[in-house]
Amino acid sequence: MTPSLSQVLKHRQDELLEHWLRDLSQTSSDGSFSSAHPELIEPLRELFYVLMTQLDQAASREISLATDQPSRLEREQQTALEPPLKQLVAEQARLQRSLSDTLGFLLYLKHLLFKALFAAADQAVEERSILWLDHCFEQIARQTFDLALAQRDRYISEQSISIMELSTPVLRLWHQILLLPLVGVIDTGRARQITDHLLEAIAKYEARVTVIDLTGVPIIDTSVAQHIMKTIDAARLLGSRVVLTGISPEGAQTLTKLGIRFGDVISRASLRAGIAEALLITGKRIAAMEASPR
Amino acid sequence: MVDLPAPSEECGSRRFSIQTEADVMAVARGARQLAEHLGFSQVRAYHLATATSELATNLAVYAGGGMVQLHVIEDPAKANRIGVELRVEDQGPGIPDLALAMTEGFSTGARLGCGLPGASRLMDEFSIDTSAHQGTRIRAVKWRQPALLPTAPISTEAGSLAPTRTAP
Ligand SMILES: Nc1ncnc2c1ncn2[C@@H]1O[C@H](COP(=O)(O)OP(=O)(O)OP(=O)(O)O)[C@@H](O)[C@H]1O
Ligand SMILES: [Mg+2]
Repeated sequence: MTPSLSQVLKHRQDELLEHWLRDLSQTSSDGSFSSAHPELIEPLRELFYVLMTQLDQAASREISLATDQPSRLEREQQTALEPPLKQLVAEQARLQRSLSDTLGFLLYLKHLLFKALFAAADQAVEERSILWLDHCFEQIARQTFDLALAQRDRYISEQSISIMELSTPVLRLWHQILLLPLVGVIDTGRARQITDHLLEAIAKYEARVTVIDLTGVPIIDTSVAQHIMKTIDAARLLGSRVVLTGISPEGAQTLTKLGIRFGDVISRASLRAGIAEALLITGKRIAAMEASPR
Repeated sequence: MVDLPAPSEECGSRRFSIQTEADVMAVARGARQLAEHLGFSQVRAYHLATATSELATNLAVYAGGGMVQLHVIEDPAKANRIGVELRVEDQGPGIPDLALAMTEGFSTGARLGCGLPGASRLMDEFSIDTSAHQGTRIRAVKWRQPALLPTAPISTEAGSLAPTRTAP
């Protein structure tokens, strides 16, 4: 590695950092980033020091560009950079700033580094150094991108958990009768949630009958069936009987072919018939008002 | 492993990568839509979707992920007879005892153990190619119309199994 790169990294660090942060506090003239939020200064500073340490180490260890495979050193560098990059990405997301701004900040640092490198070089800068530095920043940009995507994925799955909580209501239909309308995909996580909600409600309302309606479940396969069986068992343990409704004719036929039977659970084709059954179990019925005009 | 016949390329085909159980719904939905689009009856489309869901779930649970492909195929023996071919492949641990795995109620995962035997009953054709450490490949077909007569199961390959199917 040319001595100039190491020198720049060592001796002009503070100057570089100051320059970088100063310029980042304003929107760039070419529009490659909008001004960094004041709360971002600390994460940026932290990232800068880690980055400089990594670059300096790599530069002094004479990195060659020859290998296409990510070298051990590159992986080390990625590991070291992950915490500050993650923090930066998370802060930007929290402040509702775009990923392109984040990348803009990093690429602007590359720009400053190059300028410093050229200014300091008393002789021509070695091509190898330029290529290498460029390569490093490309890696960093890619890593930032991946981290931002991972962060977004996490955000989405957290959101779907809250949607899931909203979409498993246990309705109190009548005195001692609960209705659990299942809608959508019943996976392991959701099944547990549904069972928990139901058990709470059974205890709270001293429910004697629970109507589980499957009209909104697109496909009843063995996994879904097993989840429903577990829910039924749990409900029974708390003394509530279960009436299953809303299994389509195709669904019923398929369940038979799968060899699945829901034991001695009462099953009714429609929700209406299921509710009638539940009322019967609790000794009630819906009757026309005597005085009602015909 | 024996090479399975190549799928017909003339019509549509769709690939789904399955990594976790969360990926299963998309392929089951895709199978159902494809079947309904091709004019399958509701029941037959539901059968196909459920079998797809079973096999895809097994990929996520037992094989550490894999690939599901749906192809529209035409029966070479019979004109105008179309169906959906399901190919499910993984590089997982394989199934050491296939006959046992096809037994109703057998599960190494504390599940119902109905998926494989059930899927084979839901489909018109069903064959598995697997052995320990070799991964598993399953080919299954659901035709748009039921066969008039139940066709006899054919199983010649070692380590493959075509369970008895019943005419729907
Ligand atoms: N792709 C696969 N790779 C490895 N082993 C498998 C695979 N698919 C199935 N098996 C094995 O075969 C057994 C039977 O599978 P099957 O789908 O019939 O039952 P299950 O998945 O255990 O329960 P269910 O499908 O009823 O939820 C499984 O328990 C597992 O040991
Ligand atoms: Mg299974």
